[in-house]
Formats: sequence, structure tokens, C-alpha cells
Amino acid sequence: MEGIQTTTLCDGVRFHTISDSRFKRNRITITFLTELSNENVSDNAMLFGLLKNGTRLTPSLTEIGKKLAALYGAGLSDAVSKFGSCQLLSLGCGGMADRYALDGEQISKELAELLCEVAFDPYLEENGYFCEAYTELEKNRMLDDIRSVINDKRGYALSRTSQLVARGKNFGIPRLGTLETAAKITPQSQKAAYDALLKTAQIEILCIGNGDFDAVKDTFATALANMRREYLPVVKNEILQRVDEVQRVSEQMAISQAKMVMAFSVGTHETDPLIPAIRLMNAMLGGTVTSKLFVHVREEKSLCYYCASRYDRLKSLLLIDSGVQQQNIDVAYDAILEQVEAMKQGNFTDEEMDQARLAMINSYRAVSDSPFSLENWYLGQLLSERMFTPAQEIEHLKAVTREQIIEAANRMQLDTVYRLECEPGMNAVNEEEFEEDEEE
Amino acid sequence: MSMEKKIVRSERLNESYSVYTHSSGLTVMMYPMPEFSTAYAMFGTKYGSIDTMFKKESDEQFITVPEGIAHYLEHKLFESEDGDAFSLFAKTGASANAFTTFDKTCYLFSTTQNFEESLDALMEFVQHPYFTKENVEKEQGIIAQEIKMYEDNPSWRVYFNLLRGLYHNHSVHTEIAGTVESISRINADLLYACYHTFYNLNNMAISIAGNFNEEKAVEIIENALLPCEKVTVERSMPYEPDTVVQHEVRQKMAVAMPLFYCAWKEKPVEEEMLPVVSMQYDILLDIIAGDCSPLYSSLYNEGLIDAGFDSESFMGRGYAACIFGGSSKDPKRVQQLLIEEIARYKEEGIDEESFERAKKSIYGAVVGSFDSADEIASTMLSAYFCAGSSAYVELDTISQMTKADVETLLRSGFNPEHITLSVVEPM
Repeated sequence: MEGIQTTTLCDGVRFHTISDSRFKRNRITITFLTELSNENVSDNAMLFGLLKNGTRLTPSLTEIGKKLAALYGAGLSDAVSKFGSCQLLSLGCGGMADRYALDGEQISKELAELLCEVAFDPYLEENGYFCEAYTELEKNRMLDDIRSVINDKRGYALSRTSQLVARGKNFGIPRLGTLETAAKITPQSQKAAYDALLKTAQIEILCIGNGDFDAVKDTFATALANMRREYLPVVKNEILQRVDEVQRVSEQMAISQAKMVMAFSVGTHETDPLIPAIRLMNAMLGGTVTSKLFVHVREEKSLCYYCASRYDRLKSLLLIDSGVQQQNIDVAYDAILEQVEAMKQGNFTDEEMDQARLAMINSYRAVSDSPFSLENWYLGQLLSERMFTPAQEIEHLKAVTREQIIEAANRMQLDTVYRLECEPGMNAVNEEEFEEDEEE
Repeated sequence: MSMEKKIVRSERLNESYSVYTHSSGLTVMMYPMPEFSTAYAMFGTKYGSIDTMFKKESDEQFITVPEGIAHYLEHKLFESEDGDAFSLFAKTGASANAFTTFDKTCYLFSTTQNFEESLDALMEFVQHPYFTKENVEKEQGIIAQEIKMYEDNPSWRVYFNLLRGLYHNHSVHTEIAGTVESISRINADLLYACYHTFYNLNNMAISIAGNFNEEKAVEIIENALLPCEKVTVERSMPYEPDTVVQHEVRQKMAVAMPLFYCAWKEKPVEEEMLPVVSMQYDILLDIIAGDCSPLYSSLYNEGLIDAGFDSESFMGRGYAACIFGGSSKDPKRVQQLLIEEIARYKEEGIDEESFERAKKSIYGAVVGSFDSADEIASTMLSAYFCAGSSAYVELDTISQMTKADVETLLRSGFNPEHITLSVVEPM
């Protein structure tokens, strides 16, 4: 792959750098890839949050914060996401490029040292487990996070749909787990999850930007030198199976705008040659502001504030999500299906095709312009069976024909319709209630 | 050429950009970054949701327009007699967008190809309003949906409830998109009145950063500019007392944990001082409640906040506040601890070490932002709209900033009588 240098540090642990002098900042990220399961999902999801509370050498949050601030306000963040049937756990930090340091500090190297401390040299109690008080605090925070999924109604509707389409299979497990799985977390279960991840997970370390990356690599190599690995490659994917009957689920909430998500199975495998055509078809259908859903459902009919489609290659799933007034929900449903049918029938112009292609080429070409988008791109590639550069994907896209787009659209089969509807009587925010709330 | 050119330099970054002034009063800023692929261009007007009462210098009387009209105008400007501006960008492959804030409206595109055609398209549609009775009425459906979406967004609600608790009269307390009722009063004539006042080139600026040819861009802009009367806008801001409206504002919504903002209403500062004072406040807030402050650590360890806890200096034309917020099981207790901590700093002063650390953090963030075309273009435009400030104003002033500067800010403000707490709590 152009620009990316890869070294294997130990079994299942790779170190990658993309060194680029244009950038004034760096990103270094450690990502663990592990299988989603009800047993470990919440323990895994909480780990990096717990680790950030302190290390053996820097045992408090404040001390870690001070080190980061001294490194010109570097940030340390953890993230949990899903990738097909896997859970991705990331611990990353970003900081200013070394050359702007006022006193010649080696920011990138020092950041790598801190990152290694947090990830590989945690603060443990004398009994060998994590601190009980911190574990309890982080657990309560995670329980709150799980409960707070309802705050973002659009995200909530999407996450409910992905649970529904899985029909009990592991890939439908929410990224943080459930209240039940999170409630079981203890300092002991955290330590067991941590040990298991260090031993068996696929670990990818990405280092992007402008710094002394040889020193960063040495730092990681030293930190990992004594690690005992029993790497277990994971089955990354499980494709959505086709079903005969559409699953329809409606739920109610105290909201003023209803949400509807329509999930279509597409029936492709991870390396299906039709994938570039499906991506282009998705862009034409609902991926851009000149797409059919945006123009015909949102603009012409004023039916939704948003109505967009997204394609999940790993799950072979195409989702159309919309925010719609309760009384228009059935009209919107028909209007959306009408646009899907238009794609299936090949009712689109060459202009629509060319424009969607140009828009996609534009975003592929922009990938190299920020450490963050590079990280996203290459992490996605590293975890896939095949790796492509943005330039290679542009070539694939250019080769897509009209016939392939029609074929791609005809692969779409409605699987699940999820509606988050407004509770009766909860259709407006009560202004009076707000006004009465005077301070005595 | 009717554009006068000036170079603005940063010694620290060893970089510079060009500022052109057109005879119409339009300012154009260009920051070429040839080693990148993306170019990011913005065409902005110093006109936001707070500008609801105004007149042209030559007008007799001020007019008052419905809340949300700046945002409405932004939506409508995408429409022309031949269709929709997005279709112009669809032909070039650029990604176009627009946004309205309290104090500005911006139209922008980002592209890695066909930059010149895209710039043409931007120049074309921003200068060609097309408002009719029919197309204005039609937009009401879409914007009403947008307003409804925000009504369901607890983070948005808790924010605007805070502003309504802080401000009596300043229109920063009204939502950017207005209300379903206020937008129903918008018509084509009002839109034209706003357009002809605020979209005159003397009140606008263009900001471009990234991969593009500067000479070509100047030529395109000059050729595309329409003759424009040089208008000076006068804005009327109603009297705003120092006191807050309510000390506490609560709303129940479908959330799991209470969300809150706690804010101190501060004295507004002059426009040309905004970037610097706002940075001083950022340093101060970082010292009081940033990640490595004693307060943050005790709030975190008592389980009163999560990693989302944050602070911001909220400042613009005629308003200023210091805001802390996040989610908490006990927002009232967080507020109490903030009040106590601020009182302690007022009494004991700030230690040198915390001050230097906070300064270094801000310096790192500012330097880092200068490797991204969109951040640079946005910074140039925002700084310019603050009385013509330079994009490097923060970098240039941070090294001279002293502990005494932020202590003065701390002691002259943070009046314990001028606090509002806004909470969105579970039903």
C-alpha cells in the first residue's frame, strides 16, 4: 500500500506508520479487535475507560491530565465500535507535531510512552485486580451511557434497527452491551477481560502525522517485548441472511418528530465484485444532496427533514433512515419505496450516475488530507480481507456500469422496518411548563 | 485590478496568507496549501440569527424581522429560477453546504477537483436570490421539520433553555431556526429586505484555503462580482441588563440522565477584543475545570460527571458567558462545587504552573488547527468578522499573555448573582 509502512511486532500485533510532513499534528492509536459476545462485550467496552484513570507510574487521572497538558494539550481518548461481528476497542492520542515545540520536547515519543503506560502498565491493587472504586465509578458511567442511548433519537432508531435485523445473532449485540451485561462487571472480570485481550486480540497500532516515528516504534516494541501472546484470529463477519417475511416493529416515545428506518439486505460477501456498484447505487439513491431520496422525498414533497441511505458492506445491509412527521409516516414509506423501485427499474439518468460518482471520487481524494481520515481509512482496510488505497477505489468506481448499478439495486430486499413513533399527546413541547419554572 | 493586496504573516508558523480588498468593500482571504488535495471555500455574510433589528445607514427607521429569518434565507438562497444550487455543485463533484450561526451565515464547498468551476458556482448562487410567494411557503414544511427535530434533541434544548435563562432581551436567546410560529410570518418581501441589507459585499467576505491557484481564484471572483451599492449596516441591540432572567430552568424530556449547563453571565467585550479575550477565558476555564484541575478530578471521582464534562467561553456581539456542562446525576451539586472553586481562585489567585500548562494546551490546539483547509478557512473568516482581526491573532498574542491578565478577568467577572443553571431531566 502506498505510504503506509507496516512491521509485525509480535504474533497478531502490527505497527503501521504514515509519515507526512504536511501535518502539524500526530495521531497514535492502539486498536484491539475481538469477537462480539454477550459474555465479554461490556467488560471489553469499559476497559480503556478504566485504564485512563491511572497507570502504575502515573496513578491518577489528574497526573495523566498534567502530562497531556504539558505535551501541548495532547488528547487521550477511548472509543468502542462495531466492525461486522467484531468489537473494536481503541485508545488513541493526538498532539501537536514535534517541530513546533517551544522547548524542543519530543512530543510524539513522549505521547507513545504515555499511551503504552496506559494500555500496558495499568494501576493494579495489591490483590492484582483493578481498583474497586474506579471500577464501580466507570461501571456506573457505562450504565448511564447505555441508558442514554435514547437521547439521540436518530442514533437510537438506527441502533434498534441493527439489533432487530440480527434476530438474536451476535452481530446485533449493542457496542457497549446491555444493562444486564454491564451490571456484572467487577474488578476481577475487568482484569480477566484485559488479560484475555492482551493475549488473544488482534492489535493494530497506527501512527500518522509528523514526528519521530522510529522512536515511537521502539517505544511500542519495548512495551510489548515481554508479552505472552496466544493470538486467536477472529471470524470478522457474518452476513445478514435473506428472509421471506418483512419484520415490522413500532415503538413509542415522548418525541415530536417520528423516526423510520428501513433495512434492506443486499446479499453480498465482503469481497463481492459488485461492492463498488452498490456504493455508487447507494450514493445515487440517498447518499448525496442530489440523490433521489433527498430531492424527491425531502425537497419536492417536504416529507422529511432528513432521508438518507447508508450501506454497511460488512453486514451487507442498506439502511434508509428518516425523520418524519407522525401523520406523514405512511406517505413517506411509500415515497421511499417508490425511489428504491426507480433504481431497480433503471430509471436514472447518466447525469445522476456521473454526479454521484464525482461526489464519491471527491471524498476518496480527500482521505489523505487529515491524520484522522487516514486513520479511519487504513484501519478499515487493515481489518478487511483485502486492502485498497483511495486511488484504487477510485479506479473501481470509475469502472462501474449502468447495468451493474441496476443489478446492485435489484439485490435490495426489504428486511426490517422500524418506526419510532410519537406518544399520543406528546406532540409538542409545553411552553407554559417552561415559563412557570421561575426561581423563587 | 480593483483588488488591493496585503500579506499577513505568522513568524511562528513561517506561513502567510493574502488579504484582498475589493472596491465594493468585499474582503477576500486566500491561504494556498498546494501540498494538500482539498480546497475549501467560504462566502460569508456578517449576518446571523441575532440580527433581527437593523437598518441601512440611509434608511430612516429600524425594522424588526421574525426570529429565524437569517437561517430561512440561507435555505432559500440555494434556490434559483433554474433550480437548486446543489445541482451546480453536483456537476463539479464538490461537496457544498451552508450554515447559520448567531452572528454569521456562510455558504461553502469543499473539493479536490474542478475548483474553478465550483468557485464560479458559489459566486453565482450567493449573488442571485430568487424568492417567490410559492417557494417561500414551500420551505416552511422543511424548516418546521428541522425545528421539530431540534425540539427532540435534549442537548440542544438544554442549551437554548440556558440562553433563555441568561438573556432578557438580546436575541441570542432565540433559536437560530426560529419557531414554527415565527417562520410562518416570513415572506418574500422580508427575505429581500434582509438580503439587500446584509448581503451587500461591504458586509461580506470570502475565505479560501487549500489546493487552488490564487491568481485564477482572484480573477474568477473579480469577474463574478456584480455591481453592488456600498451599504453600511446599522444593528440595534436592545438594552440587556447584567442580571439573568432565571437562576434555574428545568425541562423534562425522554433522557436517561439529567443534562445540564451552568453559566456565568459576563460583560460583553468590544468586537476587536473578542478573539483575544475569548482565548483568555478559555485558559481560565481550563484552569478552573479542565481535565487536570483539582475540581475535575473530584467531580469525576465522586461520580458527578463523565468524560463529556466541558466548558466554553461563549462570546459574540453584545453577549458573553462562561458555560460549564455535561451530564450529571446531581447538576445542582456540580454547580455548588463550581461556585466554591471559583470563589477560592478569586481569593487565592491562580498558580503559575496551572497557568503555563493551560497556555501550552491552547497553543498546541491552535498550531495543530493550521494543517486543515476547513479549519483555516473558518478561522480566517471568523477572525475577519471580529473587526478585521488576523487568523494568527491567537498565536501572536498567546506568548505575551500573563497570569495577571486572566486573574483580572476572573476577579472582574464571575458574579455569583449572575448564574443560570439549565437542566433537562428524565420524565
